[in-house]
Amino acid sequence: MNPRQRRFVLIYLVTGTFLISLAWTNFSQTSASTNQNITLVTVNVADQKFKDTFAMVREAEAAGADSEQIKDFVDRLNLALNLTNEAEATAILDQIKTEAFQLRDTASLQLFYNKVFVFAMVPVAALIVTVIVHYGLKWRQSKVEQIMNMKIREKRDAQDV
Amino acid sequence: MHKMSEDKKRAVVVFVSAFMIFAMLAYVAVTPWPKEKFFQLYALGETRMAERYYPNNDTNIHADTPVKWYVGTTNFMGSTQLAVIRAKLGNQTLTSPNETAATPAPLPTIVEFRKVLQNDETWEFPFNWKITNTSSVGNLTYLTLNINGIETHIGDVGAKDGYNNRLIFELWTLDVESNDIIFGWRASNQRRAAWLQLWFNATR
Repeated sequence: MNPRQRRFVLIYLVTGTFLISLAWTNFSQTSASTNQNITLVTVNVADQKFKDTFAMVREAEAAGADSEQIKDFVDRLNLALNLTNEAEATAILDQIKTEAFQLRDTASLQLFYNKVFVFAMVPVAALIVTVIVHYGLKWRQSKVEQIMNMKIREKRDAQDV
Repeated sequence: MHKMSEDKKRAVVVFVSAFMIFAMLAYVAVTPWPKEKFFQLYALGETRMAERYYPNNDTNIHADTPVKWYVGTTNFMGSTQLAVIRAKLGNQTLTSPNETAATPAPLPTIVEFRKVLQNDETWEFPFNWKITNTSSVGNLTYLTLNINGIETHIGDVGAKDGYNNRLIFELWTLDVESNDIIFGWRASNQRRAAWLQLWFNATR
């Protein structure tokens, strides 16, 4: 390997390690929120169901779900809270829980991809800046050289101008 | 030994500097800023302002005189929360809720209002009440209240000659950690509480 190849390999190794460590941190956080233990308290079924559903909505929100989707869940949770028909409330809560579960996973994955994208853009942006600075300085240098290489000529008459 | 040209050295310095700056910016962009987490609890008078809490600004409330308040809460917890507002009737001597210890007033709840709130959402609801009946045992006066159309007799708490009653509003939340409804809320592993009270005399 020549020194240039070695440098490239080194840069890619550093960048790769950085991205992998980021991915690891993200996955461990996701798994922690997913496996969060919920202590069960003896309450009536509808009440416990409500708490479970609420916890799932909170997890979806923490995973980065869109606020409009959370608003939809909140509206339906409030609807279930005000229903006197327990069967109807339970059906609504079941539906919210299923949707929130899916949304949490989707949002979590999306958040992870967004983070990876943002950090992956770091070397790209740094490279673009380096290229701009490099060629900018080269252009400036060439302009300076152009001026320095100019020859002074004596102005003879108006037609020369 | 291979020597780097000035151009290459400069390019490496620029790349490393730009990399560090962009890495910092990326970290700041993806890291949520820590915010203070709290609830706001308030009560307003019939004009929906902090005034005119009592008819004719008189704290002596006669039987069947309607009193109109607005009770509200705002969620600044940074996440969706279940807010539960419990109204209790107290007198001058019974213990008030304790904010420091996060203990509620040891009184029965007369009425409870519940709503799931998104972050930064305010929930305000009317609290219309009147004294529909009073009964006396010794020098203690016990009240029957009509709150938002629902009549409740409060047989546990009496006030001496009907004076110095207070309606206490406590904010309770669903704590996901303990999976239970708690008085106040939990923020950064600390318990906080919000409550308020409005005094009145029950006169015939």
